[in-house]
Amino acid sequence: MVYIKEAHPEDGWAIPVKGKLYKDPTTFLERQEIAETCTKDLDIRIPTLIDELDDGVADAYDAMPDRLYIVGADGAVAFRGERGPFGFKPGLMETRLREVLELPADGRVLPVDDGKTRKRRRGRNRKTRKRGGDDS
Amino acid sequence: MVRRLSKLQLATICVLLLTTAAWAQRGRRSDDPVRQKKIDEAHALSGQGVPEGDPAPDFDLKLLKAYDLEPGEDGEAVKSVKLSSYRDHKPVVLIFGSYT
Repeated sequence: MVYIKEAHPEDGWAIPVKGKLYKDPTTFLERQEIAETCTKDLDIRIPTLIDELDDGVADAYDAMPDRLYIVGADGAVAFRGERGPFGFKPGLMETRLREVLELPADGRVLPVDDGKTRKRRRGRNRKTRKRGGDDS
Repeated sequence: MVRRLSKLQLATICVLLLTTAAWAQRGRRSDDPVRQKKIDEAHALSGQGVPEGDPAPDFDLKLLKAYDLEPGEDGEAVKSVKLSSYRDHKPVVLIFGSYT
């Protein structure tokens, strides 16, 4: 997650969160503190970065107020979501991510091939039980 | 005799006036060339973001929470993340947002 400029600060188009208004940070530390509150309250368990106070990254990606991107391993944008809130669609991003990762589109998660799975032997080496019940 | 305008016609005229005013405001340029350049770049991308297929703008930002990020080459916990460090390794999902 990239934590960016507040969408609804107290001194702007104010919308309270859990009954509390937040001012638009004027220092990096203030933004960091709000980001800390955000990740705790929303139980965000992914790496979280903080944009600089000049909003350089948010501007470069036109990310306000929220937006989703996938950057491919080749460094090019593989998915560009529309701007939120109405364009913020994780389902669309998931579909594209499955394509990027070459996962099945039906939601199956393929088992990881760690090279330790023993394969069943076929052919002459396979032990077979004789029919008729006689072990000779 | 003046024909009365319908509510729809009045609303249309208001929208046109507001749009014209906003467009005129957009034409005003800042005296600060650095700030104006940022405004121009922002306007160029306004609403569009970075097109698919284009190189993703690189950044190097401070990390608030590392969670399952692998430690750096020196074994120390990562304190910042550079997007281009993932190139040729794995794709990256970027979720931009804020608490409010």
